[in-house]
Amino acid sequence: MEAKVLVIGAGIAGMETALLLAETGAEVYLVDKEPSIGGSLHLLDYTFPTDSCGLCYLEPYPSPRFCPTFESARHPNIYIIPYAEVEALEGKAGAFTVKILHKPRYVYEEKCILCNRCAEVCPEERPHPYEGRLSPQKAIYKPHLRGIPPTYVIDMDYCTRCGKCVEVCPTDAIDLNMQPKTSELSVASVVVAAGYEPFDPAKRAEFGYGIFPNVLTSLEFERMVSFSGSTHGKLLRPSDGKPVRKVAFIHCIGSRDPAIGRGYCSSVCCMYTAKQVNLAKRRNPGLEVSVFYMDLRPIGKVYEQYIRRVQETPGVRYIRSMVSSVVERHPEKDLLIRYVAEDGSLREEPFDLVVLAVGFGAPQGLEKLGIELDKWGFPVTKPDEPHKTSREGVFVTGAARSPMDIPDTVVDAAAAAFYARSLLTQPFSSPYPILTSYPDLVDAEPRPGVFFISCPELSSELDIDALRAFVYSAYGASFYALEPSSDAWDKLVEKAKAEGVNRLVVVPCGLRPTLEVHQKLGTLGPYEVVPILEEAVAPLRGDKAKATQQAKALLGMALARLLYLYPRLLAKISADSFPPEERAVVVGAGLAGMTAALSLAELGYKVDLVEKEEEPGGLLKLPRVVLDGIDPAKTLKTLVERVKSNPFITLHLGSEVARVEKDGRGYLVELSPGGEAIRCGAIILATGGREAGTQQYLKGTHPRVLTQLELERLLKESSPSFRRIAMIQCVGSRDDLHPYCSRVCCYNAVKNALLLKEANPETEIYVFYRDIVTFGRYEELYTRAREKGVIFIPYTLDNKPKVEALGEDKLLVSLKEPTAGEVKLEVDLLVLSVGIEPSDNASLAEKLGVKLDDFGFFAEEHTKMRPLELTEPGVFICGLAQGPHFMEEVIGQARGAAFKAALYLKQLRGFPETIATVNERLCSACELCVLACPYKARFMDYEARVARVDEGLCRGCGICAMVCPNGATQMRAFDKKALMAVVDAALAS
Amino acid sequence: MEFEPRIVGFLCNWCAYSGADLAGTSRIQYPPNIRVIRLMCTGALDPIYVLRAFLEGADGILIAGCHPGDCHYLNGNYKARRRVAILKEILKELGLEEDRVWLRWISASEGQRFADTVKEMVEYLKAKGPSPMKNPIL
Repeated sequence: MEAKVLVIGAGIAGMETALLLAETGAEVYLVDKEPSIGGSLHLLDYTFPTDSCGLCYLEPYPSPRFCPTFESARHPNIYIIPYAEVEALEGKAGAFTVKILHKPRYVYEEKCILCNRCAEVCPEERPHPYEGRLSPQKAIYKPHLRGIPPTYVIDMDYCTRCGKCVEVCPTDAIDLNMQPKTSELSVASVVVAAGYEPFDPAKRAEFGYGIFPNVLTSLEFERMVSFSGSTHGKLLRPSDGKPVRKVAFIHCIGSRDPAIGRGYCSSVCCMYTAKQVNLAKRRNPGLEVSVFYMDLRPIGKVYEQYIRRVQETPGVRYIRSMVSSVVERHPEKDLLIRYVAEDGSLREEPFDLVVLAVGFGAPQGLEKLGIELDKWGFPVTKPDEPHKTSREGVFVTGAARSPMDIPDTVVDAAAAAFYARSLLTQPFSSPYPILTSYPDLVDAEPRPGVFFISCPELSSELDIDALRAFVYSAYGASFYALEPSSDAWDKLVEKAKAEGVNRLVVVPCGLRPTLEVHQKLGTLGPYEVVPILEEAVAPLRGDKAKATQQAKALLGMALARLLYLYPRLLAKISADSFPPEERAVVVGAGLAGMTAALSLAELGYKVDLVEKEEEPGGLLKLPRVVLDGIDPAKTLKTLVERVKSNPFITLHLGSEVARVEKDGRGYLVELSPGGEAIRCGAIILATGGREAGTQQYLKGTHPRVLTQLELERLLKESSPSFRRIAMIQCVGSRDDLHPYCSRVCCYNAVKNALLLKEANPETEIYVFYRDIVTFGRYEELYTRAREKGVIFIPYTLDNKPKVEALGEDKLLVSLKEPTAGEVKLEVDLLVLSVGIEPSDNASLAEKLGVKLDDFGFFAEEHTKMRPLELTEPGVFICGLAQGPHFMEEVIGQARGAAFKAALYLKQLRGFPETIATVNERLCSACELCVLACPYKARFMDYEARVARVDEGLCRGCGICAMVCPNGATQMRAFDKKALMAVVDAALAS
Repeated sequence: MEFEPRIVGFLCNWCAYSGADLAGTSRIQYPPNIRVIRLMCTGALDPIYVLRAFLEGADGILIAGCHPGDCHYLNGNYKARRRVAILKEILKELGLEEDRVWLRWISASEGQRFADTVKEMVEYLKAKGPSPMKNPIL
């Protein structure tokens, strides 16, 4: 069977899926229709809720490394196929044949040296794909920053074939007659991660996009507030370049709009708009901002607080309204927004700039894959297997499945990786055969060498002989010039071996060494890559003397560090000495825990499933009514059967975690009662949640006040009939007690209302809400409920509905409403939508040394990029332990967490390059390092009275070496003495 | 000849160094007055490096790490912030110019911000003149 996977789309979802799969030893083809990979990753300098980049967190290693784009490009198991599309998919799961169409780039990747001369002479312009009309590009252009591959490409829609670029190209890299090519790949499974198609707002002409220059899409505005964008973070009007003083954002452009066939909610626009408001205010604190919205949908754990903070910023107004049109005023080109306000009045207001929050559409071209698509173009999936398409072996993930934000996409990618991997038969293996050891150089004579890959640009702009003389006279280093070629790295390694060089300084031309090259260099000795092209040649172009001077300093700094490392820091070290424990513990046997345990078992790992109750099931055991989603009762039955019969799973019922101990190999988990101790390498927390209690609105005192779950029990057990029912949303949610949105309550309320209406159309149902948060496809249900006659009445935190008892079986619900005046309803049932609360996690968190967030859920390592990981390496979360989620989301999380745990169990521990070491002679056992270490990698050996390093846990940050008062703790590659030498070299003139 | 300040930059591996690298690879122009030294984390910056750099003739020191909340080692940048604050106090007590030490947060995507910061610092130091710590009396 083919051990290969095709991932279609190299955005956040695709790259993450590919990286995760590649880390398990699978080979991945990563196809993207754009000339370089990255998708919308490169668009987003800032992401909510942290308002900073941090996308480099996305990689799957236990240590933080780098940007996922670079990792994908460097990974030995990932084959990037840019600028290509899937033409056809034949065969079946396990043996697919994929036809790929390679679009012509007109520039040879291997020849292009990125000198930009072609773009300088090109006379034609095209609109920039990100900056839009704000900053046009030449017809021959370099893909976005950090693009992989960075090679130039010609847009033939704009090229006139004048041939000027061909004339100036110094390396003959341009071929205007390049033809499209096709190729075939054999793969076992396919992951569709094709992302989204932003809505084209020109289709909603009343907003004036494409007609009025000062109407932007949210993507264009995103670039405007980014430092790397067209205006470098300045807010300027496209029409006249004047600073923007008053800006309006309009929500739901191309979302929640059945009239144009887009009846779903795009799920992410509310939050990205809030972020853009925040960034805009940061760029220009005096800016006046108005946001026109229908409902706010802060569906993540910390989003409610974020959006509230934005709303409370001075100068920011959120206006619940329906915008009818945007018109331009002459001659100043201001924009007049006409809208219907909450009280029903028609109003007008002028603005300098209008930003349209465009929604996400389904990606194009999916029909070629032979999968069933829904009416919006998204692949059809089942609720209990939300990543499986109608065709076996083809999986879908990220925004291509349903519009979603980055944390959900990251979770989705892990789930898709799980499915795609489960079709491959070969076991998990590490893709790095060489990253296991460093050579022993303790007694070796230092032999420094500078390896200079002399591309024409470097050799023409620098005095090479002067550099050669300098490194020899100042550092005794030999100087080797190499021709740039595709096998330059191999030649370099060969040369270094032949010459016995054990301290390497490498000067690459334009491109960075790949991960594989890094590993090869690492086997030779300590090395440093010096980007002389960027740091000396580019800024001082034309001044050969100065550029050479700068290059000397850079080489000197690199050599100084390598030569001044203490020999004892160069002892042989092998990551093989920490074989991980290949067993996992899952805490909690609800939907999340059981799914995670079964997934791990499916990947071949032994699992101990710990449940504090006497029966597994958790919230699945509650009686529920079902409309279109997962049936909890059926799911419970199958899951329990499968868990109990699985030979890899040991179920510990009525047990709790009593104690956790930890070392470089993993954890020792002790259970109570019984005192059984389990050695494991990874822990998944699936401790679940519960319906929050409340005493508001006569709950607990009046028999006709129920929660939604109590209503469902009633509906399940009998078929009661009511004349008039009121529901109140957000009871104890999104307030000071639970300052987060529980995500599922609006859906549940709408679902229950629909079921009640179906059973008895005469029943009147009134839903009091703050915002109806039926995101994604759930929006359709909300539309259906309104069609069926369910009445929705908005209320606010300072104007809540009032409830009085009218005897035993009646209640009076009243609300002051801006349009209808005072609403008074006599109802015979009041249903409260109370939120989700986490279980009591505090003591477990303390035992594991992990943190809880402000609400009592486990705090992820990074809310955005690592939503399944905790700060403790090897500990993962899924389900309600992480935050409120739908059942189908919980399944994805559990699959993802299981996959990540499996990956972690296989990973080698230890990071030889930068690990901390202790000179025991100097250690005074003061324990400062133990206190400072963020990873608990430092511990005391009280017998020997020295501090030690658990090399399996050390991540090499160097913080312990900094606090050590005696210089006893030293970093392998960043020793203090060496760094002082670097400082000296930096300033030696 | 115009005074050209010499700056030593201590940048963390994950954010600021990548940001500087991005400035380089995307050919964003910035003055060549800075010599960049890579650290794994700004939390591992020993103030002694800063003092050494001043004694060796640096006119300014730029320390740059991940934005608050984004440290790849959980909280190293906060440690750096505290440490730099104390270092500045000490420099002030010694009568040395603490405004020659800058601490900035620069993420891996902020190549432009890195370039702007270097430009701004060069301008600032040009206006301020050479560092008094270059004086051999010290």
